Amino acid sequence: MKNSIRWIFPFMVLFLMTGAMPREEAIVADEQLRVITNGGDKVMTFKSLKKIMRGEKQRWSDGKKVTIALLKTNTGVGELTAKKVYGMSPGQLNKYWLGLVFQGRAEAPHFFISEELLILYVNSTPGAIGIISTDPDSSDNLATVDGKKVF
Amino acid sequence: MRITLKAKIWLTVSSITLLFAGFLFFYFPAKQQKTLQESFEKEVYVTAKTVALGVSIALTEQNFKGVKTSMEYIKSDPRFVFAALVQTDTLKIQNEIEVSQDVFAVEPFGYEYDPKTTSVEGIMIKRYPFYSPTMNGDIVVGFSEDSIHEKLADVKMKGLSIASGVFLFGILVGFILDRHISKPLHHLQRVATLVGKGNREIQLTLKRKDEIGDLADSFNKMTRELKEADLVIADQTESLIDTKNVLEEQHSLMHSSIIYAQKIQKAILPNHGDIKGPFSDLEVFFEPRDIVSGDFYYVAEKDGKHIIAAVDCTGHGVPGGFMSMIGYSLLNQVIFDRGMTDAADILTQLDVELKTGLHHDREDVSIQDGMDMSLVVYGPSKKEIQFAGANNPILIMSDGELKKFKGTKRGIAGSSYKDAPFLAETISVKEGDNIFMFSDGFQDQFGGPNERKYMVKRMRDLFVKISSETCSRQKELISKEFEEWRGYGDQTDDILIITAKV
Repeated sequence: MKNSIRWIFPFMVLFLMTGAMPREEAIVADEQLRVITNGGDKVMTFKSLKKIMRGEKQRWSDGKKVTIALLKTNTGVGELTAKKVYGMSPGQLNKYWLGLVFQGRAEAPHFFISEELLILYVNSTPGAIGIISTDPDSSDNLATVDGKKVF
Repeated sequence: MRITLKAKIWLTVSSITLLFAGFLFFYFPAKQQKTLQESFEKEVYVTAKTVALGVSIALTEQNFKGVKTSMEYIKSDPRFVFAALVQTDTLKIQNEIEVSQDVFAVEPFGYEYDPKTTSVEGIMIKRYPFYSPTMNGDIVVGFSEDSIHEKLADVKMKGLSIASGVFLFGILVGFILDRHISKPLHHLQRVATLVGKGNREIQLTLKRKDEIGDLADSFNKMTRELKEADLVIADQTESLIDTKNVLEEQHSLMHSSIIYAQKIQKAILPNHGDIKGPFSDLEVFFEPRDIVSGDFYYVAEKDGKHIIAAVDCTGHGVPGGFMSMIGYSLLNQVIFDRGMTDAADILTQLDVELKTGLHHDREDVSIQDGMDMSLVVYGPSKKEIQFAGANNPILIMSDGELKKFKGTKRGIAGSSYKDAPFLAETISVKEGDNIFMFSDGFQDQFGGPNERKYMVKRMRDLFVKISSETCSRQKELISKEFEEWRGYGDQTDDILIITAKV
């Protein structure tokens, strides 16, 4: 009996650890991100995407003002976006934008709690760009990054 | 120190004006500066608080609108100098907690701000903390204080302008008050002086409907009444002058009468040369207080007896003079008509005659006047004298001893000791003995260093002192002593002293 418990214990620990981990985290790890724009460039490189998203490039090629829309970093997609696009933790992202806004060097992104709201905002805001994980109903606003629809 | 009304008006006006101007120029700007400073401090503090709140929301809610709006607002303020976002980190190094502060962001970009700085000359710096799970720290904002200084300078300038205006207004008020109060009063003073000097025709011509106008009216009324009073006084003065003239005339007549009465009295009184009689020496010191005297001396020769008396009638002046005349007549009547030469008999009969003459038994006309007297009968023996006194003693200086003989304690026609008989004493004398007879005038004279009566004791000492002198010299010494004692005082009563040497 004692031998059987010694054999089962590591599996129980592993099981419990797996169960305690956030379910979304597990999902996010596999999420793919998509870029949607409203009237902006539909083809871009990841480098130019980063420039736009970091507020370094504030105008589209046609001169329209870039308006950034992001999911809040307390969402899985928001956190993934911070990591993939900004290379920052959620806190670092906040501090990054705080610095820019405080100094008036850039317009802060609009943060949303759901992708639906984000998509609605982008669709209704000319020059807006947003990052989502789900495939939008209309592919008209979907941009390619380094030739890919998802990254 | 006399302060004129004009000076008082100007002092009052200038004091109030300067006080008010000082308030406007010093107190008001100081109060304004404090208010401005407090208000500015509060404004900067609230600004820092607003930005800090925006930062807190931005870091927790990911909503940067508050930061953006507040920063745009403060940057649009012309007083804005800088805004710094200071990050506070708490580190635990080897069990010690270390707090570090670093500037995370500053606006305008490149502005050098040291997180430890709390004050900079000319800049109002305020900070407000913010807290979030991501970051803690402070929002520090700096606003230029130039605007306060400009506002304060503006307030001071306005204060100076208003103070100057108040000062000029004060001078104007002072000038008006001077013109309306001080000048009319000066005019009134000049006119009052003229009225005081007797000008009753002058009138004030101040046509004003205020207190000064009332004063002028009252003054004019007073001048008119003074003029009327002057006329009344002039009439009364004239009447008084008439009365005075009548009185002076009457006084002159009375004085003439009294002078004539004096002549009569002097004529009646015996000459000094006639009174010596058997005495080896005799002098009379006789000083009436008024023109005629109530005191008198009497000398008579009857049946070889020399009768001498010193008489003090009650009263002095004219009444005393009358009494002395009566006394003198009655003495003559008693001695010569009735032939009495005994001292006691003379006094007794004199008492009866005087009471009868003055009607002492009738209440309706009775007067209680009488006379005190000492009476000495000398001769024919030269070895003795007979003395009787009515309230008057005599003193005899014999062998260096001054002896007193009191007489009867009762006056002639007096009311005291009514039934006491007048008794005579026979006193042995020898050559050189000095007899002093006197009224109470000298001893009752006020004077000396303490303005007191001369008194009997002092008079006795004087008699002892002068007894070795001749009667003539004694009279001189008595007169000198009297004048020295009286000094500048008035004579109290008639004075009579007879000194005689056996």
